[in-house]
Amino acid sequence: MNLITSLRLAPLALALSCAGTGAIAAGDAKPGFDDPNNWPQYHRSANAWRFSPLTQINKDTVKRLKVAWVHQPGNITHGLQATPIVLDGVLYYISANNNVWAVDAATGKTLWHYEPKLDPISKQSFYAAASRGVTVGRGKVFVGTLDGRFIALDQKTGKEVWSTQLSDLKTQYGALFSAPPQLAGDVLFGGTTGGDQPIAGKIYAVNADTGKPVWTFEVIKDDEESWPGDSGKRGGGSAWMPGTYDAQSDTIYIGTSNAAPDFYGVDRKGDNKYTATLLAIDPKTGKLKWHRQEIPHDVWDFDSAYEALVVKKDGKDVIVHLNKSGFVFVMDKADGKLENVWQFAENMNWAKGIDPKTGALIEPRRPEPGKRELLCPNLLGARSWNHGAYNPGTGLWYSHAMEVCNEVVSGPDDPESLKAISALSLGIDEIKLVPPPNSKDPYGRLDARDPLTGELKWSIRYDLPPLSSVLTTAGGLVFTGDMEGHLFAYDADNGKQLWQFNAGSGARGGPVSYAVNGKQYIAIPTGLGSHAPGFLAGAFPQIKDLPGGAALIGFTLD
Amino acid sequence: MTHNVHLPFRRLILSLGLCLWAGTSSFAAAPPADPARAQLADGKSRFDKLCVSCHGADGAGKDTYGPSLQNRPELSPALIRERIVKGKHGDHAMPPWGTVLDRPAIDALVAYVEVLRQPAATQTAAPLSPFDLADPARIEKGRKRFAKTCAGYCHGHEGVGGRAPDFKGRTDLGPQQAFDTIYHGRTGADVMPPWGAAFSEESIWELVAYLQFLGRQSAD
Repeated sequence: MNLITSLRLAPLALALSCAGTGAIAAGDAKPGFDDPNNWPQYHRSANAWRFSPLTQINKDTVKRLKVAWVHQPGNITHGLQATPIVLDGVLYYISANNNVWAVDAATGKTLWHYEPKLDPISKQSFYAAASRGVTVGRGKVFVGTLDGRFIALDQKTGKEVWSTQLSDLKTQYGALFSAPPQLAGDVLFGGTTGGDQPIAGKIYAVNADTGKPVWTFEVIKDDEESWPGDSGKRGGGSAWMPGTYDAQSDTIYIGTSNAAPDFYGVDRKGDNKYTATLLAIDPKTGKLKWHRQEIPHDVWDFDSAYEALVVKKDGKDVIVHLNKSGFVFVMDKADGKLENVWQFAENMNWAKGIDPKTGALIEPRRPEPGKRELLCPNLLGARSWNHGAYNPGTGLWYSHAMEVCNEVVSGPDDPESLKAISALSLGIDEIKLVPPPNSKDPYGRLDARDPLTGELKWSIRYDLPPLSSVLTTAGGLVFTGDMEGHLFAYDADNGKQLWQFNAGSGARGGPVSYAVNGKQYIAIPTGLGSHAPGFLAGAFPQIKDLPGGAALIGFTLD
Repeated sequence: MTHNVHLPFRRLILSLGLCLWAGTSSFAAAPPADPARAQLADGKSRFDKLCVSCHGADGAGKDTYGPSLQNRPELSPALIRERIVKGKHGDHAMPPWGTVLDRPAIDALVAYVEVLRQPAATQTAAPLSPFDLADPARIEKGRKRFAKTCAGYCHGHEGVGGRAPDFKGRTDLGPQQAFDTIYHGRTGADVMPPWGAAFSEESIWELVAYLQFLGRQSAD
């Protein structure tokens, strides 16, 4: 691992201004600074910054960062993928098989534990065991389950308040909730897995207090031109990551997956709306306000499911949205109008580019059935779902990247292989993960970039692509972890490594920061899991020897 | 075989776990028509109930109370029968089953262990496979299915890559164990979903034929 670029040093706008021992937060009413001691939602704030305004742990003090506590859920299946939620000194997180934990955020002691009785059919799903988090609000802890339910628990006791069955795993190829449903006022919404399955994806919404369904959004548009014949019934298009709710505009932003069969588009000629699309939805009615389809007629598995980062451009709010294709779309938050498209992936050969004014794909190279094609990025994307972070102090967006390609022979699915609920509709005869062309080694990165233009400020190279989400703080720090279990704190300005800890198993969840009784903590989920490392082992054989695990580690200053 | 005699109880618990797992893997499919295959199916079913707690699933015992029965060319049918009927005294004692099981049951167990003991890589007939696992046409069908269904996301091209040990050049994976794992899936740090409801038994055996074929290739 080495620092490959350090282009220019920007002044730290605010990070160090409150780094004294007294105040621990850079108090400010700007978005991203509210409620500084807590991590109240998945990305901490609705703008998806993953930014903590706390400054007690900073560039000077981080070298004294020590383990305060370790919480082990006991089951390591698919590691620990959650982003914890922290409210008023209590940390809430989820581990394998939807086990929910409320933990004293200062000591790591278990306050309550909830284990749902899951329908055994959930064991047959391809996306078994893992969940990316819970949502806390309205006195409840909300869970999206592996058997297709939303559940509300009492925030104080962990006792079940209501449970609503939404998807049917039997008929929807194991469609389940792997991401925490999100709150939009009194509406709780979320989508299922299924982008690589022969289903028609849906986004479900219920009343958060009663669990009563309020609307369902059909991701597959009822439109013969978009989906000839009944191809839409098997068109994928699931919204498998958490969306965000912007209270200011009263809008849900949520992205959708690729179209299915992933690499075989012969039977679904059309633009395949609303797959590979960022949706802006009215939370009361479930009606579409606007949409931007990033990859029309996707045949590369290029989901648009990742976080909708909101930053300012010339005084107005824009959404910065990474697509798996290796491009970042910058669009007006009000109507989705395109402001820019910039290339994030170093190796990109599935098209000549994307027109930054119109969003049109320039000479896309759609795989021809029966022909072997080398396509970059690979089906996991220019980055997996591990989220980036934005620091208003540096004005930089920090995101991991992977440079790996795949060799694919497109072909129709074998109907016999589509009988199990675990079946994947990849539309391939063959697939092989390969290094980028010109015999370069595959690798991973942490990039610090201007979110609007993509201008690179600094970048760190890793032998194995890190799969952890990133945290950045007003202390001028960037936290993340690698697949081997090394946790890092870097200088947000220049990427200089300031702290390291070996957790023993890789990082796949979301690091968070919060404060209890005037003391700042960093909590980092460790424990390698999910299908991504398994798939990446094709290009990185050393992944085979990496141990699994599951330990949430709380750090604080000694 | 080396054994640590101080921890048999823990091992017993571990192998009981295996037993529970393996116990659920006896076949619910209709009884095979072929009498030899029926006898092997009976032997496997009995082995899964009575023997796996000491010898491990498919006799693959590793750190189990009893020894592994795989890759044991020295085990003659006569010795297998004698041991099952009379048991064994001393360290790692084995109970005598001659007083418990009738003749056909013992015959079935002997027939099954007789197949288990052959080196996995050379096994072209698994106890319950309905065809010759070395049949090139079956291997090719398995290859296609593997490339479509198993390679992407999980096991990698030609079974190299993925979180499971590479299948190419792998000699320790017996056909029955491969079949059972595909049929029932498995859960550890990673998860493999069960494919028993997805594929016909025949299709799964074709995948097994391909895995056995990969096992005979050099790992390069």
